[in-house]
Amino acid sequence: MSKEKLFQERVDRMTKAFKHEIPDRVPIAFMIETWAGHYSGYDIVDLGYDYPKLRESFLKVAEDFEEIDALPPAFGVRPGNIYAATQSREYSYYGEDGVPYASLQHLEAGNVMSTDEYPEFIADPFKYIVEKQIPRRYAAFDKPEPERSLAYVQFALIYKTYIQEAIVKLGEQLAVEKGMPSLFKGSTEMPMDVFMDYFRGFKGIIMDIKKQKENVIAACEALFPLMLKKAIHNVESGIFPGIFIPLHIPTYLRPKDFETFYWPTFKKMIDSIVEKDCTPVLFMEGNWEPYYDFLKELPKKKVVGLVESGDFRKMKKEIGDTLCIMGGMPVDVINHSTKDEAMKYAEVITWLQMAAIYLHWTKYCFHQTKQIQRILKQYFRQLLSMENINKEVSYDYKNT
Amino acid sequence: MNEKYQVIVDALGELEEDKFLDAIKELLEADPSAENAEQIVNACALGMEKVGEYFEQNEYFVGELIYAADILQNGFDLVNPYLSEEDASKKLGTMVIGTAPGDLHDIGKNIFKSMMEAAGFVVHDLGVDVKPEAFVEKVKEVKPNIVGISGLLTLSLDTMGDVINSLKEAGLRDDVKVIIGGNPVTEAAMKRVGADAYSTNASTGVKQCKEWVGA
Repeated sequence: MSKEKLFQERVDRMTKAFKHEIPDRVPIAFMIETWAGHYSGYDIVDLGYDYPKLRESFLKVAEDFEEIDALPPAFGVRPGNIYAATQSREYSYYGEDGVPYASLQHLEAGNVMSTDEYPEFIADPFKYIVEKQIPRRYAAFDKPEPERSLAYVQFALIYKTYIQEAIVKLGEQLAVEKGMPSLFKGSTEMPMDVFMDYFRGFKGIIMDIKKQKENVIAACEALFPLMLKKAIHNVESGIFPGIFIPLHIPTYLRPKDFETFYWPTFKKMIDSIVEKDCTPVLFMEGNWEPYYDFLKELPKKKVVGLVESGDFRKMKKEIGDTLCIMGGMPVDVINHSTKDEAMKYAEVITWLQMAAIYLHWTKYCFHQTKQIQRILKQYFRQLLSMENINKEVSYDYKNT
Repeated sequence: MNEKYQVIVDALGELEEDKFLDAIKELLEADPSAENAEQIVNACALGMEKVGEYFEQNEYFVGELIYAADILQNGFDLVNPYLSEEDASKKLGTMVIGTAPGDLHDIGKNIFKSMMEAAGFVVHDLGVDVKPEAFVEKVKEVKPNIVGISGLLTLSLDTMGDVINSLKEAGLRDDVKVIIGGNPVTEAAMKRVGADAYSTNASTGVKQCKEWVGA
């Protein structure tokens, strides 16, 4: 089969799944990040700093795992060159001894914005970000004008190189050489997650919603237009690829607080992206069961939910009509399971797929051994065999 | 419990910070004795139990746990000067805690630590990316009841085992209970690495630790 035809076949399969139509088989999206490097014999420093090695790794995965239908852009690997240039310590690739970590380390940005600065942020979010938040996170911009503006310009050039070499060029190579589509064409975060991740830290935002409710609500509203712009600016309309949106704080909030603080801009974001005829792909970390009633209010058959774990059957039943659910074998099971356990997961997923649409994905951070490759291969083969269509399988993976 | 302390229990349980702190201030003003202060501390413990119950009933989520620990700390700051030396130094038990070797993620560990301190434990925090030898050394030094290993990366499920093996090699494993915590931990992982308990949230972890020391 020509690469063009293969590419189109994969795109059609993913698109059908996103639209809740039945594709010819279970589509498989492979949510690898640094594992592409481990698999190809590179460490995370190679991946973060050396764009040709990064591309080589992803291309090798695409070559060796032809069952896969889509790979995410390499954003998850993170750009070491950019963090070095901006003098950031938020992502750590190697220890003090210079030895690369086995996995990328994400350190909390923490208390970048102080508790009393909400009004200043709300009055002019962009100004606050450029003049206060970024210089505090990245020392390279912590300079008086005009040096700071100059630093931004220099940074823009490094960033442009990164986007070109690690994202655009890799995406083109994957498509042309391997017939492999990209799972995402853009990304954003929900405003309240931005405040947690980049402004106030986890404890900070948790305390703020208890102590300055109105400010948090107003700040989320003030930030919303910028985060929506990040999602859809310069992005073409179309069902597939999706817009990746990792959801971070929701499952730490009681539903009442979720409704008050998170839901208003969350709902608005989803509606706005869907209005542009794009598909939000929500990375639903943690246990979302307490929030299913909210999810049911999202536009039907327009949103994808990436889930790590949970009661898949219940999930399908409760929110499967609204969300296309992507999920599968948890990483720990991949790392340590027997072949039988992997087969069992594949059975469950294939069976649930028949209830509507189910995608498979699997996440970063598993080991580099050949054993893993074998397990994955067997798992994929089982997924693709479609043996379990309409066959109810025993199901006991509730809390894995 | 005397009714005048019940307001402390309820206010903490319902996360009403002002009411909680005002009640403590009033009680201390009326009676600055060490005995009264100790009763207030006991009421705080009952209030935290209430918070834990709400958590188990899915009324409270992690956000409420963090807030409760913060409120409680503010309350302790008011009470501490009034406690007798004996009461002030009375602790439920001792714990050594750190993130797993190779893991720098510590948000969960820090939440758990503050909850443990709020519950009345002395916590020796070794920080992040803690080598097995560092755990062993600290255990030798402070002889804790409990060792806690926290992690976010799935890789940590293996290095937690390295820590436990080092404790075994040093002949210390039987002297301590080991709890592993964090997003990726599971019962299967707990058995595999040879820990005594696991927890994916601070509340059940603290409850387990309290059981271990008979509190």
